[in-house]
This record gives sequence, structure tokens and C-alpha cells, in this order.
Amino acid sequence: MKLTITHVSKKIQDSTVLNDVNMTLEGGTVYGLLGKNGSGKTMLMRAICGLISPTNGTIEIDGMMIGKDISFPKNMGMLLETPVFLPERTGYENLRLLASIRREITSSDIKRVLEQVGLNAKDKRKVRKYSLGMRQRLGIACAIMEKPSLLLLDEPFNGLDESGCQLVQQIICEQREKGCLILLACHDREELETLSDCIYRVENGRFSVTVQNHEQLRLSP
Amino acid sequence: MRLKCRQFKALFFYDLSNGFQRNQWKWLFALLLQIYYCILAGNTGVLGRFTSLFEGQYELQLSTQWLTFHGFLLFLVNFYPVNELTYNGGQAIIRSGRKEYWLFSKMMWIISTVISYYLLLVLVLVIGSVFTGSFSISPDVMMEIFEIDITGLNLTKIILYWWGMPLLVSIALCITEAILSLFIQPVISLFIMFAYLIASAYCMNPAFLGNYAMLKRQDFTSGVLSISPQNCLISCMLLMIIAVTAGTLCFKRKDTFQLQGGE
Repeated sequence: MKLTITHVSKKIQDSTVLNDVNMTLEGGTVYGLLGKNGSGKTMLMRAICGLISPTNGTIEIDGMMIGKDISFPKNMGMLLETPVFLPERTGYENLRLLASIRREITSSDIKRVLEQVGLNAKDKRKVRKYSLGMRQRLGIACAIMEKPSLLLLDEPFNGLDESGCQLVQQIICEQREKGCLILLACHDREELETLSDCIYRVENGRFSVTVQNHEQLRLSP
Repeated sequence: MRLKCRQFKALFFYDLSNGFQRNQWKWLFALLLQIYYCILAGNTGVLGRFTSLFEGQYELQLSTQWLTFHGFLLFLVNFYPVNELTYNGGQAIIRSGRKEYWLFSKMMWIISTVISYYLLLVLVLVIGSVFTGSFSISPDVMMEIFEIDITGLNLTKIILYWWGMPLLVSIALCITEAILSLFIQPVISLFIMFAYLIASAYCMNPAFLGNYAMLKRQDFTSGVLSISPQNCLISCMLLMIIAVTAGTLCFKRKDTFQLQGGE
């Protein structure tokens, strides 16, 4: 898996939300995005997902241009902000419904991934009765259930307790070992330092400073 | 090719299942509404009950039953496609493979929903007729109650005028409305289509598709030759082709910002 972002800019009305972004990302690596709210982290993830079209520039995945050759990256899992599920269904039913679109995984795969994130597949509770943390776990299960080779995680630690955070860290490490390209946006600098192989600092839509060695990040103001 | 067909089929079944479950309460209300229409029509048989619903008005007046039947259908189909677009940050659309598949699957879902809505009406009317014991209506009674002359019309023509034309109009209007709702607020698109339906009642012109769905405006009753099944087919197909083509082109460039939509 190789993700190439070339001169990507996005303007919304008069505001530039992505400003000449250039990146080359490889599989088996965790890339962290560090920046304030509204700096452009989520917008870049949306552009990679194919949910928004860049005003300029191209995004290619293994040579396939998003928006031209493909609408959305194949084999991608994502968690963008707070996950929203059908409130009148159980967590398992929600995942089974989404999995029915690609038909790549079985019911037992869904049950296994639910167990992996610490949820009970046999739990009959509807999602509307889930706590914020449980919804977040379900969102992570949804992102990883189809064994993605590209994983976009936007604030995956939101609403999670300590054990939940450890679980997500473990999942991220496992996915990396499987060769998955992971893009992780998080406002917690320490969390990002622990998990990422490479950190991009995002400011006003510019992904200008690349920190591949964590020491550089620690020394920077 | 086979993979694409399989993928599209899976997406369509997803829409059938998900769309029905999300609209459960609306379907229940549709059923109650149709039972009410059935009771309102009295002992006039299946065709009489159909006529009371689809007759419309000769003059430039609005038929409440006709408007609520079509208006509720517009309400039924309007919100699902746009909710699905934003559901869970676009989790469904990214799994569809291509934006065009997603959009066409929604169009298929709309056609299925409209047909189901009409079939539900037939079912309610038939069951209503079983309860009241009145299945048929004589041409004289039809003339007396509804002022519609059905002598000389065979079964094919009756199905075409009573069922085919309103169904086709509903499909065209619902598809146009759903496509509009992807680009403007769904409530506004609902109001636009609702206003268009009302305008049909006050403007006896083939450009207003609602006229084709009113029995008293159709060529065999009104004598207005332009409100014919052929023109109905051409107008509806034209509207659908324009809506789907323009919708597909614009949708391919559409940005999905509202990521926390859905229920």
C-alpha cells in the first residue's frame, strides 16, 4: 500500500483548509497528525476517503487516483470523529448491516472483532443505550472489521477509559504489524508520540513540519 | 462485470433492508392512511376506491385525497438517501465502491418503495372489498358517482390509466426530489415537489406531471389530448433522465461535509 498526496489544496469559499499538501505514505507505518482543532487534519482524511474533492492536486493509492480511477480507496477502514450508528439496533446488527455491502466478512468475523474491542457480540442492548466509550469501541470495530490495508483514525481515544485507550493502542500496533497504513489524528501529543512512526504537524492546512524522530518533537516548542 | 453486478446487488439489498427499517413508522402511517382512504370511498369496489383516490378534479381545484396520497409518498422517500450519505461519517458510501453505484442503488430503492406503496394500496383496497363484499362497480354507478365514463375501456387501459400513469408520475417525482435533496436541504426539496404537485392541480398543462396522475385530467375523460399515456411516458422519462444525469454529474463532484448526520 502506497499513498501519494501531491500538491493537494482545498478551498471552501475564501478559506484555504488544505494548503499544498505533499506526502508519500507507506504501508506498515503509523503516521500521526498533530494540530489544533480546525487545522485541517480531518479535512485531509476526508479527502483521502474520497468524501471531498481537492481543489488542486491529486491523491493516489497504489497508482489509482481518487476521484478519477476510483471514487473511494478499496480496503479502507475509517473512524472520523464521533461514530454514529443506528440507535434502534444492537452493535452487532449495525456492523452486520454495513458488512453486507462489501460481503467480505462473515458473522463470526464480526463477532470476533467485537470481542477484540471489548464488546459482547451477544449483547442485546440497542446502540442508543451505549455509553460514549462503547460507541467509540464500536466505531473502531467498524473501522477494522474488514481487515483494511488503509486505516484512518480521527481522535480514536475520544470517550475511552484507560483500558479502552490501551486496547486501541494494541489494535493500532497489531494493524501496523499486519502491514496496514495507519493515519492517526489525535490532539494528545504523548499518545501520538507513543504510537506514531512519523508525525506531521498541521497548521492552517499546511503539513509543513515532519518529525520522524520523536526527539525532534519533544525539543520543539 | 460479474463483480460489479454482485457489488451492486449487495448494495441494493442493503438499501432495501436498511431503508425499510428506517422508515418503519412512516410505512405504518402509510398503511393507516390507505385504510382511511378505503373507508372514505364506501362500497364502491376496488376500482371505485381507486377512482376516489386518483380522480382529482376536472376544474382547477385541489383534491385533498389525491394530494395527501402523493404528498405522503414524497415524504416517505425524501430523507433516506441523504441520511445514508452522511450516516456514520459516510461509512455506507465508502463501502459502495463507486459514487455512481451508491446513487443508482438509491434510485432503485426509490422505485421499489414507490411500487411497494402502490401495491400496499391495492392490498388494502382488495382486503377492504373482501370485508365489504363489493368488488366491482358498474359503468353507470361510476358515471353517477365519479362522472367518469368507463364504457369501452378494457382491463389493460384501466390498469394503464388508473395505475400505470400515476405510478410513473410518482416514480419520476420521487427520483427528482431525492436527487434535489442531495444538493439542497431535504425539507426544501420536499416543499418544492409539494408545490409542484399543487401547481399541477391549478394548471392543466402537460408540463405539470401531476395532471397525468389525475383521472379527470387524462385524455379519455377530459378530452385534452396532450394528457395522454404516451406523453406521460415521454415527460416522466425526460424528467428522470435529466434528473439522474445532472444528479450523477454533480454528485461525483459533491463534497460530503456533514459527517454526523443520519438518525
